[in-house]
Amino acid sequence: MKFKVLFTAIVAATMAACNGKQTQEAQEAAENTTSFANEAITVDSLLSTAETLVGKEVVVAGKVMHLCKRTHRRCFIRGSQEANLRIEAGEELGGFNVELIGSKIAAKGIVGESRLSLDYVKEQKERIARQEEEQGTSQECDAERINIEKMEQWMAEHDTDYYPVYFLTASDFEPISAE
Amino acid sequence: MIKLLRIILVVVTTIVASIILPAMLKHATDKPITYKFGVYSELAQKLFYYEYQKNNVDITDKDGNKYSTAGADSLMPIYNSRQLTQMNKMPDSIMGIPVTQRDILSSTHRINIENDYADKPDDCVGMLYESMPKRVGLVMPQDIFRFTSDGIEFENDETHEIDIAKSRTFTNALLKSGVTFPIKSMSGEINARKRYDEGYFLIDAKGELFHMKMVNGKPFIRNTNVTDTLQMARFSMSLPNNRSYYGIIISADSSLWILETGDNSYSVKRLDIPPISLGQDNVRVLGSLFYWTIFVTNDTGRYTYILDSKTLKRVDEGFLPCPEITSNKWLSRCFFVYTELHHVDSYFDYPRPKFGGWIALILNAIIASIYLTIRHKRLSKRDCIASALYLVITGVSGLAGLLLVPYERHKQTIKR
Repeated sequence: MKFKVLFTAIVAATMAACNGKQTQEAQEAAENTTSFANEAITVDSLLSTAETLVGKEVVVAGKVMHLCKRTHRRCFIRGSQEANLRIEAGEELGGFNVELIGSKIAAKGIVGESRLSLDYVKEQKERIARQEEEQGTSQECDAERINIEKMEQWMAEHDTDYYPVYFLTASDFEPISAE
Repeated sequence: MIKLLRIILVVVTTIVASIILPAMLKHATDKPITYKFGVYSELAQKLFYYEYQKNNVDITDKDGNKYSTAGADSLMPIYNSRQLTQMNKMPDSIMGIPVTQRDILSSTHRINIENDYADKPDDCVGMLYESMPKRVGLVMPQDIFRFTSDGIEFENDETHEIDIAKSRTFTNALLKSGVTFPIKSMSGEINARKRYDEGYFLIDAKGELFHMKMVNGKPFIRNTNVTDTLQMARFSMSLPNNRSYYGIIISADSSLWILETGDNSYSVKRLDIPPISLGQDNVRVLGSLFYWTIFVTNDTGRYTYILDSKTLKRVDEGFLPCPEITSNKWLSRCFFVYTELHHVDSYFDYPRPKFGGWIALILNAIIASIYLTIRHKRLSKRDCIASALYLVITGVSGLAGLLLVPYERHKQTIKR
């Protein structure tokens, strides 16, 4: 009798421990998916040191200003200054939902660089000039022309024949706040 | 005692017959109620009605003017776009706006609110799709979820094991977003063929409307803050092709609102129609590129409202009275009083007497006369008077009760 009671108690304790362990493991797993938003740097900080971060994984936070509603795989975030950072959804992500526009998000991914050649910049400048001749000046043309001039100025200052555009290929993101 | 039991038997048989016989008559004489179909003309800027017959269609406008099919086709290019396209007569623009067949198809949508909507129990389990799948097309989830008194549970639909980690992650996200449990109701679109997923909308214990969906495997929970504008009663999700709104809200004052999509905001726009009566009105919304047509149908008839698709303000309306229901006419002629089980104003089915028509007394009197003519020799004077009165009131149902009690037994009770 005593043996039966003892055996039953041992079995019950083992089962409870296993279940408890499973529950604890699951709790830990849920809690261990901690937010990486705490490690985020600002868009301005990233862009100021972007050339040293190319190919490296970073976490960057900013407000979503624009999102591609057709594919949902690209969005633009902005920091405190005017500069925007393009974020592309990597293979791990399905996309960005439209409700994120206007929200602050933290995105983790690899910094990439694409280079606009001097020839390309010159071509764009000529195109804008032609457009202005044919259709007259407009706000859009002015904004594009100013951007082109900034690129040319930057290339002249840095003595390069290309203008770098930095972007992030995100492997994960999380909303930080709704506003 | 035996006589009392026989009386009870007759009465019970009469009541049962008063349920079955009118139901049979209704079934035999009932015809579906059909209304003319209202269509708004973008070019003529007025309401037209299509009455579909067996082999032709009658088209009239609100003033009663008749039109041929060919004439009406051009006046309503959106409604007849396929026909006009086939005949190469589809205009390139309507009301100054360039229009393609693709624009028309993508902007067409419909919402239905049936009159038993208020009585339907809310879904108690749901299926949460991945709303941003990596590959085109939605994948059926492997689990279902339900709300508990203080959280959400995801259960594998094959093994029935609770996914504790996922449940805890979502519960934490819901609490962090300000959801107050228990959840009063939820609405989603469980349809494997839907083109996209927007998760579920939840009404929490405080009456706030929250949006919940799964994005890249993680919970996305957002308070819509629509209660700043209205008091929530019910929400019904409806996903149009053009993704312009999430669904329809019925507010506490029975007005209809659309919950619109927008950049970081959930805005509401009221449909410019009178408040509906949940439980009595059938509401059908047919949306198209320029106008929404709303049909509100109840016992009195069908109201047709035309709203501008951008502002949802009313631009036209019409009313068609309910045609006479054939079965009701026959019931009023044949039954002075009968019994109904199903009632529109109650959740429960139970026998309730219903008045038929005074004209049925004539038929009842004839039935009573025939019965007494045949049976007067076998009945006492008192029984004759009682039977006559009984048959004048109950009619055919009472006759069924009296006939089922064999007259030989009556004979035993006769005191001569």
